[in-house]
Amino acid sequence: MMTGQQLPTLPRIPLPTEVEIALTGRCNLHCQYCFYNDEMVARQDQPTHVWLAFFEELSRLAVRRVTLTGGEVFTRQDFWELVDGIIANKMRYSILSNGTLIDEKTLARFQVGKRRLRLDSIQISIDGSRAEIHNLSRPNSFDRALRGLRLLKEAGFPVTVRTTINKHNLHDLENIAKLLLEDVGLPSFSTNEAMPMGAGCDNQKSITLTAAEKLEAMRTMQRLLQRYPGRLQASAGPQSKLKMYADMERARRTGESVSAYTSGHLTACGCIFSKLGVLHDGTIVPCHVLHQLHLGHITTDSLEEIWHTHPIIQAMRQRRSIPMRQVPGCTGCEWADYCNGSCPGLAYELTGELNRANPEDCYRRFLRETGVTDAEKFWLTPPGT
Amino acid sequence: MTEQEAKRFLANPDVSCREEGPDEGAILFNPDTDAILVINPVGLLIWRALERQPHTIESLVAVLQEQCEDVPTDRVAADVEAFLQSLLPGGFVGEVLEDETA
Repeated sequence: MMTGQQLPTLPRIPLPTEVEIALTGRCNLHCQYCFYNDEMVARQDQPTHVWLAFFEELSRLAVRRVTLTGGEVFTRQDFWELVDGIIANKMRYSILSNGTLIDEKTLARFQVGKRRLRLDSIQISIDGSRAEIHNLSRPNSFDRALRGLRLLKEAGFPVTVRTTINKHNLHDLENIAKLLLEDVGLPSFSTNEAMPMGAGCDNQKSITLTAAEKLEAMRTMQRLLQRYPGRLQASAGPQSKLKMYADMERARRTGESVSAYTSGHLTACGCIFSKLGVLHDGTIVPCHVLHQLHLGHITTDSLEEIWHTHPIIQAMRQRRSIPMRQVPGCTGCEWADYCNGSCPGLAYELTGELNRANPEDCYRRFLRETGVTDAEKFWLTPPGT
Repeated sequence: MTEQEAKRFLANPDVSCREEGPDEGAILFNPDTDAILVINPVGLLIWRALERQPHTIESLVAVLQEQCEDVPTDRVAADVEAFLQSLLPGGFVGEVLEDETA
């Protein structure tokens, strides 16, 4: 995992402010790109009392918020008891859901106590503007998901949408934006991209984008950003790459770093400085993308001790001191001084090593595979100008 | 005693308090309002007192005088009042109403 070089000792990092928790491995859907693959499904859910005890530990550490995910969280019979446990332990919460189990009764249950007051956001996955497209990646779920979304929106909930860009919806992105922003009336929505992980690995040829398709998705997102300024968000996927690649081009052209902290070293992703993840069986992980790196278990290990002393956590934080020019696979790359290596989770998933760059986001590879020749002109000049 | 001096304050029991290290103060978080406030070590002493029981400005000054050396009453009373005023908007503390304590 380590490069063998001597890395500096890091100062003590404040305890995490947020923990992402998969409450269950169960789901009522079988999406084509879900990274909860067979290995994850084989793990057992933790019972109510274990989660409630864990929330008490989070409260002692003054963790401020948790994100509840799965699986599908609304399949848990004790879901509301767990939400009340979060509230009793002085935290706020967010929910990631497929939206299909949300109905009027769900909305009514949110009104009990402080459940709605403490809800930061509830994110629904919508992958198409109509059932024929959405259901290709998220089978038999469009009508129910859209109904759940509309119910939440109309009732004034802090609802958001995530669209995972994949082969099926590549040519539907403009319709999806219209549906969500104009018809449903959301203030914004976010996108990412189907990755070759979990089920996405098994279905790679039918679901993940080729380089040419990624380029097309980026051009579409660029058009949509012009049409809906400030209303499209992304921390991964084509829109995120659009910004990352433009930053790299700009930095190379001007000779200035993209930022003092984010280029030329393995600096991508600050999650490990403020967050941790927990799988549905109670395994503590750096984040859910890095679910193979087990740090301990909520029933036997101290979260505080893991945060301050676990070798994997230390190694992840020390990545930031590794120059891209010393990263295997990146030595000699003309973009090394302008790159930050991108998501360490995908780097580990795809290369088996933590101190590597994420090959899915490699700009050099992208230029080679797409054949983009006048890169600077393309990325820095909005279409139609 | 003025009306302001007679007021009693109490910490909101839903607020979490994170101490990052010795002599570093703390971070208060009100999950109901999503408000965050960074307080210094003296503020932390006041906060811990307000968590235990309701206090007036005068009784908070007494708490500080017990725990710190050379605390000039007049100046500290003004500082304590200013600190309480910074805690009120985010709902970190509340004023204890008389009928609540009856």
